[in-house]
Amino acid sequence: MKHRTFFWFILPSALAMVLFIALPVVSVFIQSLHVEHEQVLRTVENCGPFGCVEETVVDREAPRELREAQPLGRFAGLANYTDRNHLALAELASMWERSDSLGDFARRAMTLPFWRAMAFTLTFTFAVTPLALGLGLAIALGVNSLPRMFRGPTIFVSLLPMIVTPLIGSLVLYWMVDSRGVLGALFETVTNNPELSLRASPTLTWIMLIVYGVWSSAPFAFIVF
Amino acid sequence: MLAAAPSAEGQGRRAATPWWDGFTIAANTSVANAEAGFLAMLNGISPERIAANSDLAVWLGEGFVPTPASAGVNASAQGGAAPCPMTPCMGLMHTAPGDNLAPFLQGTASAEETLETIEAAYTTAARSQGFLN
Repeated sequence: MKHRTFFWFILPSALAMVLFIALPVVSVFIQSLHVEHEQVLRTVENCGPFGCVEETVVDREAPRELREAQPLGRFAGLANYTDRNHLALAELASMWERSDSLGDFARRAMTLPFWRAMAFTLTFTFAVTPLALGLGLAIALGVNSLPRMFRGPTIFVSLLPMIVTPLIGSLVLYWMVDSRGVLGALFETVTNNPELSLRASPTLTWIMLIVYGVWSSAPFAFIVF
Repeated sequence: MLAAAPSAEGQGRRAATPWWDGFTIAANTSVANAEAGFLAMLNGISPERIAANSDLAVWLGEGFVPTPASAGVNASAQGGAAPCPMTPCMGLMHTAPGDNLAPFLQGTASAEETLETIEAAYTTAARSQGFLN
């Protein structure tokens, strides 16, 4: 196909992609290099039913010129990437100096939001992927050895976990593991511990999420196998 | 019958920060609109209206008759409880402990560590919104 033909074919799609994907990415990156302007606070007398008191309020008028002159804010370089809510490099360095063992350092690092999320994501990935593949393979082998008559319904039932919309699935799971829900009550009876709460323990919650992840991703592996 | 919030050493303001609903009239509305709105609101908080609706809310006006359930809040308000400050910093100040108290309550973090974490979380949030330098 001539290059010109290809160009005219691809132009609408490329235009949409540039407008809705490429440009926003560039814009977001530039915005991420800036921080908001300093807020100006001023004291104001506030009269209520109990008399007049002085209060501090945010002044929106004073920095208006500054905001219009520099709408992006103050240039901050990579400060947004290294601050506590993200990579937290300075906090990690101070935690490293203060902790006596690797376990202690890990426990302190888990108070940082990004690294806690990263730990869960890595655990989830490395736990769910092999387990889902294994379960999918097991289902596929099982279906392979079934007589022809049962294969159809079995395949249908095995595919259901993936068809459940993730939002609905997670809501239903949330209600089921409540202490008054099916799974919550089941675990309470089985472990003979009426105060067991899956949601109160981070470890148990992680395990529950991993099990749910395996259950809903196994059908995909089953189909592939 | 609920009691009022306590005050430090038995004197001074009550240790509570109630939220009150009120009404405002926009500064750039027409005079006729402002008058009409003001008259409507005055009728709404007349003593008869407040007395008739005393069990629906706690009122800061004449004619309010406290019920057993609202006697405590009323006593706190009469005792000088300050309204909850509405600056954006207070919102950040509420989120910081809310996000970081769980480990302390479960016993995996000490009180000093939790306070440090809360302070660091608040400082980062305030700095990113321009309230701190």
